[in-house]
Amino acid sequence: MLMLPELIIVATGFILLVLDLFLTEKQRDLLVPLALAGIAAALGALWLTPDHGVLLGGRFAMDPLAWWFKLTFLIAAFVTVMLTSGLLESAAPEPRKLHSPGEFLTILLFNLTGMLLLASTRDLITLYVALELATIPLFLLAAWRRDALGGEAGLKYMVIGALASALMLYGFGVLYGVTGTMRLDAMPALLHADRTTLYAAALIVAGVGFKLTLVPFHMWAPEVYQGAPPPVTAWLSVASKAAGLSVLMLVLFRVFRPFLHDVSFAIAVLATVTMTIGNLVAIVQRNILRFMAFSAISQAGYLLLGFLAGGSVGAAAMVFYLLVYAVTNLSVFAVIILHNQQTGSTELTDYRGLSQLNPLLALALMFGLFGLGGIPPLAGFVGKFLLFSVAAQAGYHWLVGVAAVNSTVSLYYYLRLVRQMYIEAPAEGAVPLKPGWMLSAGLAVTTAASMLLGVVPTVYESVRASAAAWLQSLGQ
Amino acid sequence: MPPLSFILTHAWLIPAIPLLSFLLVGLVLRPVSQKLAGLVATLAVGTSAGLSWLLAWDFLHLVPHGQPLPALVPWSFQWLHFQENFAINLGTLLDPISVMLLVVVTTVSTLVHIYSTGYMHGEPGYARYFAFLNLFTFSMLGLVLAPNLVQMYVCWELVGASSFFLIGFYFEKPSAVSASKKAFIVTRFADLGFLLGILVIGFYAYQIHGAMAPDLLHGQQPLDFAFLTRPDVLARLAGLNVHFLGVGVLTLSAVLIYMGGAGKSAMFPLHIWLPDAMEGPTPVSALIHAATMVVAGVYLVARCFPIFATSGEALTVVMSIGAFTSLFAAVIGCTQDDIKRVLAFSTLSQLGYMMFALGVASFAHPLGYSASMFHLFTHAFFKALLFLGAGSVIHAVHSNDIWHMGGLRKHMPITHALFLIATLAIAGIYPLAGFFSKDEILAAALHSGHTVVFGVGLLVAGMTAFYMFRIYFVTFWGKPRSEHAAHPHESPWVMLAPMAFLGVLSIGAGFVPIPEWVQLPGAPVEHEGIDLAVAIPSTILALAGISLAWLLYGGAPERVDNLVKKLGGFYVAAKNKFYFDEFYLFVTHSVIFRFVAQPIAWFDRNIVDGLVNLGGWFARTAGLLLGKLQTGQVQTYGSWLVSGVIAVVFVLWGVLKSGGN
Repeated sequence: MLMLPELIIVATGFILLVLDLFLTEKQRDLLVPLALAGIAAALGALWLTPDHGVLLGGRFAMDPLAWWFKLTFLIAAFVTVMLTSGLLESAAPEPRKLHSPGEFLTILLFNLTGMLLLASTRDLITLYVALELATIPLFLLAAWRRDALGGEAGLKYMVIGALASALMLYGFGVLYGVTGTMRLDAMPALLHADRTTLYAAALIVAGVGFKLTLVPFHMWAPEVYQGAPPPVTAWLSVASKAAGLSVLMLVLFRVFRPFLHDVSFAIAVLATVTMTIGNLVAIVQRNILRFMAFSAISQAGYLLLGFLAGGSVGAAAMVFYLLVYAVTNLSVFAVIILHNQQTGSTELTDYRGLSQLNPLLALALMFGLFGLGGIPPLAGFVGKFLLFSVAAQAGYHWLVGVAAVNSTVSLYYYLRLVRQMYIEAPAEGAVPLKPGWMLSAGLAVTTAASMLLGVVPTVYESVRASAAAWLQSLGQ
Repeated sequence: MPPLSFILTHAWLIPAIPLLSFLLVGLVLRPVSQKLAGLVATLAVGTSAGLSWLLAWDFLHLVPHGQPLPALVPWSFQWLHFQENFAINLGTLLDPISVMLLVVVTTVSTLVHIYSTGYMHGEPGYARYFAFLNLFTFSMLGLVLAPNLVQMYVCWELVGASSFFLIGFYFEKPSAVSASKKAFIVTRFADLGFLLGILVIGFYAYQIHGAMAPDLLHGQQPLDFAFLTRPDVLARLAGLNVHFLGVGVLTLSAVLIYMGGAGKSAMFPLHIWLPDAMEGPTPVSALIHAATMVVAGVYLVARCFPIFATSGEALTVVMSIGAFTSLFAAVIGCTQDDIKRVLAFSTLSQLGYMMFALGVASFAHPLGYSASMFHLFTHAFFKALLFLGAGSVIHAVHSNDIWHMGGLRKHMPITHALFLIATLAIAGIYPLAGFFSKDEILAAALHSGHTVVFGVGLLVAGMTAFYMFRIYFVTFWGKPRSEHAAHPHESPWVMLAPMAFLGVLSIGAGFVPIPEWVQLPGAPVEHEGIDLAVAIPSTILALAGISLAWLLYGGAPERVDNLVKKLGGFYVAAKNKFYFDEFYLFVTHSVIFRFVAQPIAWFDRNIVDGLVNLGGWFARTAGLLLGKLQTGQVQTYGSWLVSGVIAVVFVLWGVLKSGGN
């Protein structure tokens, strides 16, 4: 029962894989609804899953925060499939069409399984396997188009990913060597604040930093974001980041919890560098996917602020912001995917005059960007506010200042896109985009969520309650 | 207490209906059909009025006759949760004054809506007008029902904004635009005080709230009126040894809150916006600038009365400013020629009356409190009627100037009769509504020992009778003095019917036992019948005022000219409203704009913008340089990753070293 969501996703993956063998090109259009049905079923199963419990001799465990992570993964996957539907169908425009939809969806679902497992792992081996399952399929997805850019993206992603993975594995090895146990929960009692422990911590942080795109482990991101098909980029920017955060929380809160307070300065430095570099470089980008890559980097910097306070407030703020970031970023990507699908362009300036051609799309994109920039009353503002207040409570007032300045800088580049859409005239002969109903539905739902999460306090309150329960389960 | 009836627990419906109608009319119906928009808006407010009457009926029957009426919050929900013991609720507070004002607001608003369907007929922006009237009604009702200072403040600002929209309804007219701006800026400036007051009292109330035992709180939040007006809380607030410029916290916050009330109720010296606000459509003036919004300030002081009473000094401020305003506005009112402006100054004067009535009240002599609310009640009806009557006259003559009118009583008999009723009511002639409430205020001033205020009140009563009958005689008697005045038409029945209804209320409202219902909680009952020691002099003075008006304006106008010459400078000064507008204009334009705003603007344009541009340039350059790191070489990326690990290792070791020692 505890593992039901994962099992449903794996089963759906295999069903798709096998069905794919027997279906004609045209019939394969059925695969997308099937995948959506599978994810929806998993969401339903998650809803019924109790938020604590242990399986497999303690290697797999549910806790209140894992529940929220799984919810984020599943929602992100559901929306991503909705947004991808236009490119997977048999009638998709040729150079940008994603071939072999069955395999694409299967790999996506396996990737999702890895992430779902990741949130529940409790020992080093499961953690590592789940992490690889949450990473390696992404290399394939990034290179799906097999053109020059896609190939470059996939290859770079794999090389850097392997390096990060190796460093992380080294870290795990050191950790095992010091403690002699695989169980994460047993480690804090066996660890001492010495150089070896911190050495392992640094190695693991580097491995997770790769997934979370923390500076300086972020260099792969712009190229991969640009070269991968936009739906994959969307998935990458949301789910992969969420997976990174779940590992980091696992490691920092479960294993290195006794030293978390001592290393908070290092976290603050990492956060500062990440958000500042992300934002500064985003200013000068001309390609929207690279631009979103740096935007995502800076968002990871904000997320780190939640680690500064060890308590449940920080965890709650991070999980809530992750949820907000996921829906907001997906709403932005919905428009990017559609625009790329129908114009083939990824240049910022090609969004000029969108407000006159597609007023509703432009409005949704504007709301999405404002949400990422953190303008009240959108959810992005509330999420950032909570994170900043965590930093302030931990006494890092200078960091709140830095983050606030960074937010302002980020507004500048988000507004650059808004300016293109609302102030510049449309290009000669530009035609309005025609969104499919599934993409429209995905966009509508994410946009609505990115607004409602900011004004309806229920979600944050339940995250907060979960975080408190989770902290108790950590066995203070 | 019997179980609460449906309408008592669902009082939120009363403001909700106009809000929904505002959205419906403003967003959906406005482009579709003007007629339908007006109809829906009117029906919505009419429904609210019906519900309010029902609610008042149920409320009055909650307790057996003779017992004090309760104050309850039957419906509320948490809106903002700041901290464990600091949250803001939205809800409905039902107590005698809120129920009374609920009835007044919805009734007058309904009548004004009906009247407007005739008065605004054929105007461009007809539907917009009704949408804003709905918005205003919603905001005002939200304000009346507010159970805490924050909801009140939010609705307070909404009221200000909708008033701004309505004063500036004729936005092609520059004078209307500047009037709406003036009203907004002056009241907004005053609201700054209100906000500061909320913050000051909220800060200390929060601390007291936190220090109290939870079972003593009864679920009250720090900014709830129920909490702020508790005797034990007030005693602690008064006992705080915190002073600002030698003023205690309680007095300071009370005076700051009063500043907001003074702005809305146009007390001297914040009165300057109200006469100009007459640029709006006349029914708007009847609703907003006579019966509802302008009394919000009085209502606020009444709502917070225990705070003012505990402070004492704050109450003296309220009393002095109220008394002065009532006299000051009456003097100006005697000299104005624009019929609506005279009414505006008379409103100022009457608001001053209500304010000083509150000011003379205390826990020992609570009569002023009841009297003030009583006068608020009666004044709403006869002043609305006066405005609607003025609107009817303006509609016929196409001018606001009383000297362009004259002899209208023959052509407009119904308007004339109703205007006369309202004029007699405001002059305080028995048995019309104004007599009773004014009498009560004067009695309250006399019996609480404020003889000077009593004298001022008497004098103002006489002057009110004089200037009101001045416009009455000039408008309705004598010979027509303009082309339009010679052949006016009586207004259509949609305008006359609401006026007639108000006429009935202007006659009968004095017999409603408001003072019996509206009692200061926790104070002895102090109510008496007509006090002849007050009634006789006030009636004599009123009759004297009327006679003087008849003498000067009923017949030959030369008599006036002679008098004006004798009064000379004083008359000119009063006619120019004692040059307050010029004074404010001088202060803002010649002093603040030139010596403060312009240097700051220069600093902003050159220094601040320069720094901002420098920051932008810096960020862009940094971005360009950092972007160069993105070489596209996977080897570079790998080396960055590894160097990153090394850096993190050293940072962590460094932290360990400094933390370990």
